[in-house]
Amino acid sequence: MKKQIEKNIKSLLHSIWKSGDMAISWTKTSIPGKRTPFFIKNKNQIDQLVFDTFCAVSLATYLTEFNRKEILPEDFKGKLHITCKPCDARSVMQLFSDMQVSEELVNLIVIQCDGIADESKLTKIMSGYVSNIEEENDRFICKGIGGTEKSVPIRDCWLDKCSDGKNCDLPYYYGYYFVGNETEYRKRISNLLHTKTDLVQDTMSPKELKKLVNKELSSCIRCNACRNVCPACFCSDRCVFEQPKVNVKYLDSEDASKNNILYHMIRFNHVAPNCTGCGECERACPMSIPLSMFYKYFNRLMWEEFEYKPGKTNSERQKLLSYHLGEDLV
Amino acid sequence: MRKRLQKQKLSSLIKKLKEDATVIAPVMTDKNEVDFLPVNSEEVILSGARSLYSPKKYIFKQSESMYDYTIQDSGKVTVKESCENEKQIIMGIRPCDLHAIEYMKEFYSGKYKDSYILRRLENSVLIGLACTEPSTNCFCTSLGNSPVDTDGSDIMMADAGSFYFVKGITEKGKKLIENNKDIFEDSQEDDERVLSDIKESCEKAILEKIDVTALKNKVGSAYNSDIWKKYSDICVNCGACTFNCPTCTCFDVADTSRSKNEGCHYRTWDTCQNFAFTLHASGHNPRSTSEERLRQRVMHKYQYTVDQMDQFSCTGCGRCTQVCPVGISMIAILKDIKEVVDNGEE
Repeated sequence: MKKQIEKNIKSLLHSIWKSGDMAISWTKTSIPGKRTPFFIKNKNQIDQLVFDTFCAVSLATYLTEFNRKEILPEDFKGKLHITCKPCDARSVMQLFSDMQVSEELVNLIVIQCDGIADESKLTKIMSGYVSNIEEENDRFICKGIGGTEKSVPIRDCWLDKCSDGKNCDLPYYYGYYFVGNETEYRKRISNLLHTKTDLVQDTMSPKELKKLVNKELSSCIRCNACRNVCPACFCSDRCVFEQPKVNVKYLDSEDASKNNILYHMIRFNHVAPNCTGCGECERACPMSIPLSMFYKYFNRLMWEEFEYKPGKTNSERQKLLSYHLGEDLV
Repeated sequence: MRKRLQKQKLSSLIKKLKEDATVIAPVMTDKNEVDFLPVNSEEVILSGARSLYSPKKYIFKQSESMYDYTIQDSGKVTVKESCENEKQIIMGIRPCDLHAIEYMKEFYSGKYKDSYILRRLENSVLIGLACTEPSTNCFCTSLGNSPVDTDGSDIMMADAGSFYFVKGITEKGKKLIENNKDIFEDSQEDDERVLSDIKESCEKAILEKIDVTALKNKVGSAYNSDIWKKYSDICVNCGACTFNCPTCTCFDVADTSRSKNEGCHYRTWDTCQNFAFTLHASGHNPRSTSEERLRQRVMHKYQYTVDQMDQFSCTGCGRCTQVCPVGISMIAILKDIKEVVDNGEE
């Protein structure tokens, strides 16, 4: 069925493609289980597109990059087609709401998703070495050292957000193409069990929170991978951590845990109002810091206070950036 | 010097070594990842593929104070140079990381000597471990290295089933074995064969092979080709690849205050993928685009250090590929370079 979806994406792109368009999608790499973003700049590249269980990278982050560098081809004059899983589509919605990308520019293609596998989780299960991966029903058949075969349930390799299911809702938006069966998709996500226990509990005391923060965040190496893959981070060269225009350092890069914690604390508070919970920060982190758990906590707080969940529509203003006349000042 | 170390004797060896040095070895962290950490009583993992994290951080620290200063009320400033003299023994270093430490040693002892790193190397005993299994991303054979290389180690170990085959390489290493000779056993004549067995089986399992040594001195000809754009388009310019690279040696220096009267001058890892890395005070940036920065990383590893030190500064550990959040593969870049070089020669 996944092959069919991939085929449908290709034929959809072929049918809507006009000269001067560009598309962002995924393609294969030589490493088993790794898919890489792929920029389709002319029509005959469409067939290199791949969509399968390993397309973990959220392409929404590239929409923020348009301010940062010139990735659009010189002859670009049409639409930018972007293929998204439903969770990534929510990030695109948030970028629309925050007026970072023009809706006229982007053509959103949402794909029916059956859960995305994390290649690094699979590699860990296979103790570091996979030479070939094949998908059979709901299991991966992996080849390890010396040709040994191991069958791994796909569910065991899912990204955390996929088993959680809280980010799987389709956005309230009229203008997207859906590839796949929408009713089937809605049925699948309504059956997902939200069993994952949160690392950051609401009942935690400030002392416990502090202990947790110290434990988890002090291993940070400040590579900025979490910031750079984040679709909600669009300050580009006006980021507080590095301001190339003025070259001011507001935060020491010294590896003292207080600096690393402050780095993340600034990000939590700054990004939480438009964090859709896509989990890219956690996936990108080379030190396996469970960052999305912290963002989830901030999102819960925001829901309690404002009943606001980022990424639901294309036009909702951020609650921390807007106010109603007559609203009580906090 | 050739010895045998029975596997059950490993813990008593570590206990003995801990008496006068910090012992660092690969252990399982609570995040289910193998990392080099100071060991207490945890189980040391000396099997499987190389760890995701390299032991670089114990030689070239993520950040370290170079000197501390205090300002007295009278206005007198005293400066104290940081001088670590702690002895450390790092165990289970894989050949790729040993090559990296060897490179680092040469790099930091050039015209201007980096006394901090050289002192730390002086105080370290490096115990290598031959790789019995590669990881998915390993490509050391492409660089002309092998999973059983001993260069850079003081002592080399190899798993031989019920025992480790131990080989003293340098004087420092031989002395360590001599000091603990009651823990080691004499080796049999054909013990050394284990190295060639491991080499054969491990090299067979390595997935990616491309003869990079044939590209020596030729990588530069791909400088103006259009392959860089393909990768820089998708590169998000984080520093995960460089920070996890065992041979990346760049650092930044800055000052910070600890209190009103105290502070330090420190250095931290820095990455060429960062915009501010080459930013001049004038505002001009010679490497202002992502394409130039990505090319710099590759060119530095495969051309510039060949020009300056006659060696690649890549050991083929594949960590850059493993940690890249958007799946950029160094092997893929090398394959593209090879194509450009081959086409240019025809």
